[in-house]
Amino acid sequence: MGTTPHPDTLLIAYVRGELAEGDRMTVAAHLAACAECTRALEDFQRILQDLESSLPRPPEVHWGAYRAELREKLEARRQRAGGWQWLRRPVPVALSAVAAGALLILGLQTWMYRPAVNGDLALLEETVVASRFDLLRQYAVIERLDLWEDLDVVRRLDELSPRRKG
Amino acid sequence: MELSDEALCQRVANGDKPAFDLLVGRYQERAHRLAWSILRDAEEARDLSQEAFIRLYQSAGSFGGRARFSTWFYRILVNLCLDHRRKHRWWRRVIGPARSEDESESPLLERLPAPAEDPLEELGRGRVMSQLWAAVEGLSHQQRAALLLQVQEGLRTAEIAQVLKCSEATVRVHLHRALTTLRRTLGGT
Repeated sequence: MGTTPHPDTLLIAYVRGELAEGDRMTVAAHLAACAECTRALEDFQRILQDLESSLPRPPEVHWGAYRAELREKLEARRQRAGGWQWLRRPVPVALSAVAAGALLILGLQTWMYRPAVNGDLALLEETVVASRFDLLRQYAVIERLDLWEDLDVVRRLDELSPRRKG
Repeated sequence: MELSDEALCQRVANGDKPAFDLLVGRYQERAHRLAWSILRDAEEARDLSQEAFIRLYQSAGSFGGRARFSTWFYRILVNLCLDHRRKHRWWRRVIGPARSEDESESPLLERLPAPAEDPLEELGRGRVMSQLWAAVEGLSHQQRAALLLQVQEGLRTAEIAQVLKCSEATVRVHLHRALTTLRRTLGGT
């Protein structure tokens, strides 16, 4: 064929009657003038017929056993899926679990190894001092005596008589 | 009235087990035959065709009904088989093509349909067919899958394209290359 290219990849579709009308006409026109493509087409047709008429037989299968085995596999898969259902949504669940774990570890580490801050020291001081002062009970007396700084005096507050107040 | 494959698949999506059994009954032979044709191993064909039915059961809800059920199901099956072959390619190269016991004992010539008339003529023809199918085994995975879907399952080019997840033009190229190889094997030019 002089001018038109060989329609190689259209030949099988042509044989099987799958081409649209335009393509079919083009291939038919080409075949009418191209002995090479006509030979190829005849060979392809023959090979396809040979293949269709000589399909190898697969090994024999006992279909009842096949279906029973399939049912077992399906059941096993269903049970496995049920036990680990939360893993079947892997990305969101795994991400959430990792994020929650990381936050928990971070929080624990921060709490355990946090540096002592002024606020905490003040709180500790306050607790110790308060336990020694019996502050709540004697607060009115202390306030009036203005003895906050003198621990020795404060320690003896219990010995003060209420009548001597003021 | 017999329910269509598509209607049965819809029922499977709603958890209807008898519908699943019906679909298995309709497709078990085709599925096993196609898997075996691609893999040429009885055990693998059995395993992977069953796996395809399990995937069908699990993902019946995703069958949109835009394609035929058979096309959708073949897609699951062929993908499983081709993935399997890709994964085990290096191993096959080391130990050679896998052959189950029944296959090694009966060569391809014996597995072809029994001769019909003149025994001598049929013997010669059987040898040619055996040579032809041996050449089919030597094709690339995609070429062989495309060819088998056409000659064995009778799928059209558009359907093969859906199964193999490629364009129709690509399927035509696969088929043309496959047949050109087979033609050359048989002594054509």
